[in-house]
Amino acid sequence: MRWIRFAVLVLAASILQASLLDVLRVRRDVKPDLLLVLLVFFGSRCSSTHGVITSFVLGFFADLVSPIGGVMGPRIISFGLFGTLLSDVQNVFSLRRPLYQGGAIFLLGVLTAVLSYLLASLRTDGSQTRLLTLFLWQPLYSGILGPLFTLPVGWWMHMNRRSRSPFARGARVR
Amino acid sequence: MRRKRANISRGMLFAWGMGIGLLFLFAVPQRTSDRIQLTYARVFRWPLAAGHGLTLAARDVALPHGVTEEQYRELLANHREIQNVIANLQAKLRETQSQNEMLARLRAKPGWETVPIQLAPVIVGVGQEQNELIIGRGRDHGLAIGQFVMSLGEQGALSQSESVVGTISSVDARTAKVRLLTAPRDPKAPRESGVVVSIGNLGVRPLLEGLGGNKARIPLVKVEGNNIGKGDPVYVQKSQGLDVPVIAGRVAQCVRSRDDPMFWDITVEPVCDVAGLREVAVVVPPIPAH
Repeated sequence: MRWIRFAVLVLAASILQASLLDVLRVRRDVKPDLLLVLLVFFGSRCSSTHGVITSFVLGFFADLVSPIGGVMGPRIISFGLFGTLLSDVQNVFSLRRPLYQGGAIFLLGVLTAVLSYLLASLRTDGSQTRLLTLFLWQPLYSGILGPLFTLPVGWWMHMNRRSRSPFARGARVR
Repeated sequence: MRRKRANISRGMLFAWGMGIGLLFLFAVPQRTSDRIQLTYARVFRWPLAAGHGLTLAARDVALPHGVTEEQYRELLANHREIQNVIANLQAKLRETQSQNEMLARLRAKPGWETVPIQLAPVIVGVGQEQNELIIGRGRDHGLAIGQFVMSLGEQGALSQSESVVGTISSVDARTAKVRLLTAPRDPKAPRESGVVVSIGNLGVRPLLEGLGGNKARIPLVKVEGNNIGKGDPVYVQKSQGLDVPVIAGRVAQCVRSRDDPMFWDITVEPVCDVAGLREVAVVVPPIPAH
């Protein structure tokens, strides 16, 4: 794992998420979640230990740039939990195909959003949050656009290699 | 062995991560979280500002031919202002429609066709025992001291009957104070300041006085020969623009007066739950033309 490259990537992604990604905004408040895309990318390609670290770091940055209900913590926990689970199952399911990647991004987007919302509502009144956007449209949009980001991210991280999953198509089994 | 150590390390990492998350969620004060977010924004303000500027530039539409950027911004500002005015007018229209519906329902009832009414929103209930209301209509709307104030039926989820709740006690240009029928009578005020009511077949027209505590009384009534019982309606008589007698309350108790055992004191409870009122109707009698 190239940690310096990872740090640069996460910083760049958080800055993009907070500013330039507004270009891709649909309706008033639906835009792809780049940090969620990175969560699925690292969760599906790193070793399980690195998967845990990257998940929590991404969760921290997600809480920095787009906290739910204005509180920090919910996205650290939800990203950490589901990123760790994803890194656990990456040896069973290969997420190399864009369709699967998109599906995983959508699913993780929904799960992290629901958990984050529930955790955030322990501290704040969540009535101001647009639930349909948070639970459905944003994960869906991220799932559609997410696979497009994985190629440049893989190139930057030198991780565009073949899958380690023994069940993946074309995987080398020794 | 190596594998086992890696697993423990992973578990520890996970526990630490969750611990930090929970710490942020429950232990770190909101002010500190805000400060961390602001620090991030301050440290990376240049790339963030540049990204924001690029976003705005990308969202800019092509200007129509012959329109400068300044003119375009001015037009946009005008457009926003007009949108706000439209939104306000729409809200006013909705309110007026709802008032019209309420009035139409009232007018459809027999006896209410010609009663001159001004609807008024209840702003707040005042006083320790909520003996007064402040309403959002005043002298500018034709209100004057002494006019009757009534509750209206069907106010949202609450179903109220039309009944007299009080009279206007003081009036400003755009607001007025309503003294409820149950408000205790001012000891200095003359006895005639009460509201004239009628009960059952009583030949006389007694005066209703407030007692406080959501109760009123009709003192010193000669009830012999008249059947007055608990639950009988008490009507406010035709006066001050009221074309029909309107119910004000019901008899709660009828006991011999302590002042004069020849007479009776009747305790009256209002039929309307004043605390639930959102809108009231003020009976505004037309000013006679000279």
